[in-house]
Amino acid sequence: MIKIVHYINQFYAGVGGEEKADIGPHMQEGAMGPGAALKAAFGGDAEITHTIYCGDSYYAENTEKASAEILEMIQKVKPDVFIAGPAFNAGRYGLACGSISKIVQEKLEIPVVTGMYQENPGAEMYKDSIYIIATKDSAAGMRDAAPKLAKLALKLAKGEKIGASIEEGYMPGKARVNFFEEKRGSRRAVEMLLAKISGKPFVTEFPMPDFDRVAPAAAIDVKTARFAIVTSGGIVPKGNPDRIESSSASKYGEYAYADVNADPSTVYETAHGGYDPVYANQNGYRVLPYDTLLNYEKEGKIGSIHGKYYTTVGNGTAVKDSAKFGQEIAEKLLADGVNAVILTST
Amino acid sequence: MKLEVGYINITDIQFGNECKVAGGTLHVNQDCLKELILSDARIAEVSFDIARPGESVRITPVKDVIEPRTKVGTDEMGIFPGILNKVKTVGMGRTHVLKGAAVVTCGQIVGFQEGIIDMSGPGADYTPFSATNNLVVLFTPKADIQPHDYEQALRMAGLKVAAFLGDLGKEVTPDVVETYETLPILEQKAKYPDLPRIGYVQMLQTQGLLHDTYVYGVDMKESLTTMINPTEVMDGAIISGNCVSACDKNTTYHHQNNPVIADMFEENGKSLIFAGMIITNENVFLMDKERSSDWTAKLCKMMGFDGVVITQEGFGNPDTDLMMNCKKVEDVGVPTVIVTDEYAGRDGTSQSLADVDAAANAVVTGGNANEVITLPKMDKVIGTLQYVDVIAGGFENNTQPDGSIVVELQAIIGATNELGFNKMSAR
Amino acid sequence: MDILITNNPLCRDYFADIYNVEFSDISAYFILQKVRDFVHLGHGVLTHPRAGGLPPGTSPYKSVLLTGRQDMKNSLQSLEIVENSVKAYEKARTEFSEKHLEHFAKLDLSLLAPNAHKKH
Repeated sequence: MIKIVHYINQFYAGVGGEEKADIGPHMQEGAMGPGAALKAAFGGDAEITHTIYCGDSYYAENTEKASAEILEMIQKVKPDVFIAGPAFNAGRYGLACGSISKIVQEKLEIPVVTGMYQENPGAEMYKDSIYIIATKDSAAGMRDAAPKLAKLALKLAKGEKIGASIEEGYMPGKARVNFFEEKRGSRRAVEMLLAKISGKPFVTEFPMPDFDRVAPAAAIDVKTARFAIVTSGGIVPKGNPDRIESSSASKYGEYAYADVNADPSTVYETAHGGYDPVYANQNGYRVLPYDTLLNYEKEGKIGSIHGKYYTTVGNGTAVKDSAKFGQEIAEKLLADGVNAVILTST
Repeated sequence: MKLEVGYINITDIQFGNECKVAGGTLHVNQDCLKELILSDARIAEVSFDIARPGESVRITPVKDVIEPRTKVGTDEMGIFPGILNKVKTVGMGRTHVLKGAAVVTCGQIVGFQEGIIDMSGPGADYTPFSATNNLVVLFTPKADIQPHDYEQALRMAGLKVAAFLGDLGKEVTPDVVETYETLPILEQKAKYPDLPRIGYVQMLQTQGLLHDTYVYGVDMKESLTTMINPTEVMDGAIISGNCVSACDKNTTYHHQNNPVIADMFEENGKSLIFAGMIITNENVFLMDKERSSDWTAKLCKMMGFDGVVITQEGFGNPDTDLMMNCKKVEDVGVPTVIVTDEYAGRDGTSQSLADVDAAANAVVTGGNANEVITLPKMDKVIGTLQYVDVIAGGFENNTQPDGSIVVELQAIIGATNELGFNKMSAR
Repeated sequence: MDILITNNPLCRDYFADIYNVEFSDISAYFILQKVRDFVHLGHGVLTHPRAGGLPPGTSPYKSVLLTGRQDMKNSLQSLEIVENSVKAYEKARTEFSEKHLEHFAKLDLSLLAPNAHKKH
């Protein structure tokens, strides 16, 4: 019998909602929550012997510790396959599923499969490393996802050849796999061209690598320019008044600079999860170089400094959301007469 | 320009005393062919064999595959113009084809660039020539011959044999007759005012000695990007003279049966106007690449194409030509679809193409040439297995104790063809 | 005078009077690294480093022609081409067959001098 360990978050384990997101990993025998649907999909070919659940915040904020704890649990059970999720469109859950799956695959060399919605930030981050079944954006997609997860998990456990992404339902990225189409290539090319010229949808068979390149703007005279700082490094006024999330941020903040003579550790902190925040919390200017910029202004190296800065958290934040933030921030800066921006990250 | 093509279905090849086509069988007298071939002093010996679909046969090392065709009712035009016959514009009148028959030339030229054809088993799914009745011509060159001389001798011999066999179909009544026609530009538009005018850009392998393609006898690397009528290609105006990886070299057979030309003619007057065809090269020097791709874009614009399909040959540095062509054609406002193949490593995780560009947003792929396949032992080998470890796609000690060989698809003739000849793709 | 970076003795001899030949007896991969060094110094790539239709690692020989001038510092094209080639060769298995060294050398020469074979 093929043994499976299933990873889910605190929600799906029935432990609790956001208020329980900081619980550490626990392992329990048998299937729980969505494991039931997987169990049905396996028929009698495989068994979920154990379920591990962990709070999403706990995993995000203590990734190293949490993953080590989970690895230890899995090692005891020695499953044939590890399944995580599916996480659908839950950002932190998707990141946790992707992260722990990748770690299990690398450290324990156990085949892994997870599932999530294509816009989940975990998909972009992990689809090149692990098999991620593409699911709908909510748990309503469980019925569709379960058979695909189960089928792929069984194939992996048996060491069978894994077909192309389009055949198995996983997200393209991990590996290019050959398969036979119904029509020959020339016919597909002619049909694709006819679709392309008439503005109809078509799917390229080889997506080009992401080329999100921005052409450099014309040079400016820094001596007269008005400068602003925008950061994805999460520097916020002490206390994080707008509660910007530590990962998968849903918003950005607009703040006035604190008095530069104050002890930075008392006026700023970082909201950013997923990295060691000690140095950013000690001195926010390490991420938000306002102090240096002020000196430049005094020395006449730059024109002036805009009084407000914009900040968000880059950790796992969806590209789509980041692009939206960027556009809004740019409009505000333009309206305020800013013509030079320094962008910093963690 | 209008061409009538009569297809004579060939279901078997047999050796005998006569050379003739009768009842769907191609009868071949080996002595006639021998005489034809040994007239070239560079070839010491030649022998023949027959490989039929479904047989437990492996053919290797394969250089080229050619379809027997002939011009009918003309003394002026001849098949393979400028190479075998006089340099008279072809693509008009009538052509007869021995459909289902192919001449396969076999001989080790450079040791590592020839391929495999399996007539049955898993390998047969990857090559179109497992479905043709193949007359295999095996050559032994004179001692101390240089590879480029041998390549030329072998190339010419293959063309001679194919033309000789094609001539046997001159008087035979075809099973099917098709007509292909490209109208002059103004007439196209007048006849189908509402259909998009679609062009075809074919890139030809021209990296130098042993990597060349000939058009009416001209070494294409010496040519500027130019235009050709698609029906000329059906009459053997373009022939293969290259020894590149077996999987994505366009054999002469592929040129004669160019699938993009076939599918565009199929749609001509229905969903599109097949408005014209451009041929360009894939040279080594960057200056040549720039010039040729500039000309491709310029001709696309001059022809007023509403869209083009661009096909490639080979991999590595031709990926740069492909991306230049794609980007420059898109830049002049003509949408493109490109047809290529991939070298994504045996595990499929490496970068597929040597060059990429954001303009290439519509890609058809012939699959990953590095994917590994085990070819089981065959009852009979035509040629020799001596080179299966050194051909591109083979590797050291790849013959298993049970006689099977492990190769990348790269070693199989036509496996990842970049004209879109096959159904294989990758994701 | 344009610069030829090569590890192929045939190219070294053939082009001795035509190009400034930088010959070193190093692997194809190190030749590409050397080409990259030159590109960073502002020399432009004249021939594509992946000419020949051979998978990386198949042939031991590699010859690349560069501009003698160093005015191509801002040419991203040369850098992109050479970086992509280096990357392709990083992963390459070197499995060339000793039996065919002479053929490999001739082929490599033919890519730069298509008519070389006619001269003897």
